[in-house]
Amino acid sequence: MKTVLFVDDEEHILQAFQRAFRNEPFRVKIAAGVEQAREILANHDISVIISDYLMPGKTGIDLFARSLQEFPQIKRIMVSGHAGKEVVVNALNNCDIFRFFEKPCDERELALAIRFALGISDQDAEQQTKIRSLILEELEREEPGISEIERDSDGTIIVRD
Amino acid sequence: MNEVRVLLVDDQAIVAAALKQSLEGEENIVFSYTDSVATLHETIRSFQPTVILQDLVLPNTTGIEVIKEIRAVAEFRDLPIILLSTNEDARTKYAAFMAGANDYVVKFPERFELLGRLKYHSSAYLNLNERERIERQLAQKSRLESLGNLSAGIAHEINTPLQYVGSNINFFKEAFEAMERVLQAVEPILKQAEYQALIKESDVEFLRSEMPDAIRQTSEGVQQISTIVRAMKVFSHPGTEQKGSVHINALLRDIVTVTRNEWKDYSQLQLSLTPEEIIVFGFSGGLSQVILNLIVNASHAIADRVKAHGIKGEIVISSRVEAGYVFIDISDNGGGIPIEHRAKIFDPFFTTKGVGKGTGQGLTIARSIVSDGHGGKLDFSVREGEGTTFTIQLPLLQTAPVTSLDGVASYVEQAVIGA
Repeated sequence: MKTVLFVDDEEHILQAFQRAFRNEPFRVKIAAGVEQAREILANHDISVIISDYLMPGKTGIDLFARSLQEFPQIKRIMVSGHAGKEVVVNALNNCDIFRFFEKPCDERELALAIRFALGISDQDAEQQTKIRSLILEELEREEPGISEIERDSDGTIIVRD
Repeated sequence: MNEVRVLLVDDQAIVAAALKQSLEGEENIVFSYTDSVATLHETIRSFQPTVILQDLVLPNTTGIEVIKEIRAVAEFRDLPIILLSTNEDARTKYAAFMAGANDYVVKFPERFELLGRLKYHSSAYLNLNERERIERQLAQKSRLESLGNLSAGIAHEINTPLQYVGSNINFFKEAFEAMERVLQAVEPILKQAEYQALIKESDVEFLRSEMPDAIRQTSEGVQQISTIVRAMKVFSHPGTEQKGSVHINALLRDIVTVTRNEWKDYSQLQLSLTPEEIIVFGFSGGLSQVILNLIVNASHAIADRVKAHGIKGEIVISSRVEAGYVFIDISDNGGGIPIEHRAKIFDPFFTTKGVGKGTGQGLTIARSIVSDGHGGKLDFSVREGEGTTFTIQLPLLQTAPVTSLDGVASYVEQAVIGA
C-alpha cells in the first residue's frame, strides 16, 4: 500500500485527516511542519504530499519546490486557508502541483484527488463520484435520511413510506 | 443646485417687502421672511436657507442674541448670517462678529452690494457642504476598507478550525453509525435485566434517537459557516481579484444552490435563463456577491410577508440579452420596498433589518461593484403591493453554446431533474 504525507502546523487537522482517511487504500503519515516533512521524505517512500501553505518558518511552497527537485515523482497537493491568487499561481507555476484545495475542503473530495494522484482511480471516476455525492447531498437535504439504509437486527433492509 | 436661498429674520414686514423687491428679477434667488424668533429654528430646518439676513433690532431680543442661539445648534454651525442694521457703530459690529455673524450690512444696502454679499456667502456655504460630504464619503470608504481587511483576516482564521470541525463531524457520523450497528446486533443482550438499569440511567434510548439529528444539524451549521466565510472573503478583496470571463448562467445556478437554505423554507425559486451561456468580462467574486445579496434580500422580504400574510413566496431569476447588454432580473413577491425607503436603499448604513442583522452595506457595495467595477447598472422597480425586481445590467462580452465546462452545478441540476 502506498503512503501519503500530510503536512500542517495544526495538529487537529492532521488528526482529523488521519481519522477521515483510515479506511482509504493508502497509508497516512503526518508532519507538523516543513522540517519534519523533509525528514520523513528522506526516510520513507512517499507517493503524495498534501501540504498546508502557511506554516511557521517555511511555507508549503518551500516544501514543494525542494521536493520537486529531490523527488520529482512525488505528486503535490496543496490545501490552504490563505488561498490568495499569488499563492495559487506560484504553486501551479513553480511547484507543478497536482491539485489545489481551499480550506475548508470536503475530505471526501480530497480523498478522491489523492486516489487519482496514486493512480487508484481516474479523473472520470473522480468526477462521477463528485457528482454523485453532490446529488446525494441534494436529495438528503430534500428528504433527510433518504441516503441511509436502515436495517433491522437480522440485517433486513427496512423500507418506510 | 446653486440656488441662493435667503431667509430674512425681521419684525418689520415693510423691510421684507423692500428686500424682496430689491432681489426681484434675479435668477436663482429664493427669498423668504419670518418675524417669529420663537420658531426660527424650525423655519430654518424647513426652508433650508443658504444665507440668513438677521435684523439687529427686535421687540424682545436683539439680532446678536438670535445669532448666538442659532450658532448654539450644531447643524446651523456653518450657516452664513449677515447682520442687518442701521447702526454703524464699530463696537456693535464687533459684538455681531463675536456672536458668530459672517457679515454686517448697513441698512439699506444698494441692490448690487446686497446681491454680491448674498451670493458670496451662499456659494461659500454650499462649497463647504460639498467638501464635507466628500470627506464623509472618504471616511466611509476607508471604514469599508478596514472592514474588508478585518473580514479577510477573520475568514482566514476561521477556515482552519472549520476544516477539522467539518472532518470530525463526518467522523462522528461514521462512528455513531458503526456503534449503532453494533448496538442493534447486541440488542437481545442489552434487554437483559443487568444492563437495563444502566441503559435507563444513561438515557441511552434518547441519545440513540437524537444523535443522527444532532449530527446532521451540526453538519448543516458548519456548511453554512463555510458559505458565510467564503462570501466574506469575496467581500474583502474588492480590488485584488482580477477580471476574467464570467459565465453568468453557470454563476446564477451556483449561487442558487449555495443560497438554497436562505429561501427554501418560504419560497419557490424559478430560474429562467437564456438557452446559450452568457459571458461578461468581470469579477466573478464581486458579481457573485451582488447576486447573492439580492437573492438573500428577496428571500428576507418574502419571509416577512409569508409570516404576516401566509402568501406563497416566489423568487424568479432570469437572464436576457438586449442590445449588447446582459440583464439579470431578480424578482420577489415580498410586497415591494416601502415608498419611504426607496430613495435610501443604496445609501451606506441604511438598513431596515434589526440591530446585528444587517450592516446596511449590502446594496451600497453591490451598486459600486456593478457600476464602478463593471460599467453596468443596478436598479430596481416596484410592483406596488406585490414585489420588487432588481435588475443588474452588464456589458455583454459574448454568448456561447452551453458546454460541459459550465460547472458541476449545472450537471447536478440536470442530473437531479433527470433522476
